Amino acid sequence: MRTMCRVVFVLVLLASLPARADWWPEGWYDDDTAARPGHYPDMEKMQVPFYWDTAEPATLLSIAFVRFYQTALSRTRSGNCPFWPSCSRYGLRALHDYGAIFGWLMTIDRIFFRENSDIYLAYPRVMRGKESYPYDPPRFDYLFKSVELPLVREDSGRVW
Amino acid sequence: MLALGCFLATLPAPLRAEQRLPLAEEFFKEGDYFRSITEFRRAIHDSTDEAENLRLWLHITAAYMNAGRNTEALQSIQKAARLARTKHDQAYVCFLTGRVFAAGGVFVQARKQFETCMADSEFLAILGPDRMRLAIAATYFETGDWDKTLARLKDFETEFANGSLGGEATLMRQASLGADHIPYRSPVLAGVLSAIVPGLGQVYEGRYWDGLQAFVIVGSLGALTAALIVSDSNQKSFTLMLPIVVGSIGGVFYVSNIYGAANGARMSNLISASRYIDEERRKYNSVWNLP
Repeated sequence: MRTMCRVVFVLVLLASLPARADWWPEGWYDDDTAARPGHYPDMEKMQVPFYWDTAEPATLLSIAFVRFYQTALSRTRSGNCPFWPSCSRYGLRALHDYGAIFGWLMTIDRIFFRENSDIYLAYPRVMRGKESYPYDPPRFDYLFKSVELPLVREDSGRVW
Repeated sequence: MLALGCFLATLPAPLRAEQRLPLAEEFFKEGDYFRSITEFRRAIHDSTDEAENLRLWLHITAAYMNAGRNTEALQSIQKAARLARTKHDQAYVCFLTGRVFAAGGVFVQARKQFETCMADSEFLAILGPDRMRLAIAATYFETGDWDKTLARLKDFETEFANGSLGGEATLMRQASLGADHIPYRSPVLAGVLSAIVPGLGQVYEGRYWDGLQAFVIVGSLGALTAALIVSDSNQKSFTLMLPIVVGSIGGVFYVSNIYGAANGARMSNLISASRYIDEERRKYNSVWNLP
């Protein structure tokens, strides 16, 4: 049992190495690219943030798990996350920015408890191809830092 | 060589400077801001008149602002500032710099810029004290600081009875007072409700299906944990390993449900305020239009 756990652990870590651009199903996108309210330009392809620059083992392991899901499992699903960034990208960013504990709390809330209500129609929106999605980055969901208005500031194609 | 010469002769003649400006303005009206910027820049390149170049840089700034390129708009207005010689031009550039910050959503910086303009008495006389006060009130309004907006607008109509911005001030005051009616949900109450019954906080916010989903998921994990504990206690080897694992996962989901309810209430309040500001902004937009 212990040996099997160790083998699985190593396989997960190896399978979660940083991917090349063409491994990402949707291409390289910056999570912060979005629009002013009422104005929905297409997102620009920008460099994906580097998620591995953290020294916490729990966070590294969590990021490895999410990357394993993205590289190995997400293509088998229909990829129907109603938000941008998608749930797995949201998880990566939340884990990177806020650590393993709050990262997982926010990711679980996003995946399981936040997909079914009309309130998300009122969120700022971003275009992805021909469809628009509600824009819901992790910085909106970290309780211990206030979010100031305006929610979305567009500056040279990026949002701050 | 003859073939090259014939080919070159078929190319259209380059536009003259006086042809570029109407073309640039046409692109601007059509919403093709980047083409208009290109034509304005070419017109600047062809022109040697500083006053004309200042006007063109201001057009480029407006085009960048409309295109959402606020960093480039700021760079353009800073180039225009170097060309402003008269006090009138300097006052306009000072105000427009604040306008660029406001368009980019950096309202703290916009407010500081407007206060810098107000510090110069000549600038204040040119731009109008009523316009500057209203602009600063607008920066407070855009960030949802209703009390400070009302403080800035106190006695505005009586002080500037001869001005033209009394209407905008009244609209902004009404909008700030109307902000009391924005629906508000307490994050603390939402969190407490979700702690008592998983999903109840989400229902309090109006997210009924999310609440039901939270109740089902957290409830299922809790029930499964209880069932595993009961079945484990009936067995000879009483290890509780599986109930601990399932219970831990259920605990994380339970805490996540509370966190999500509290945060959802907070975001709901922010979204409501943001939409309210977007609707009310149109009523006083003319504060930004310099005569």
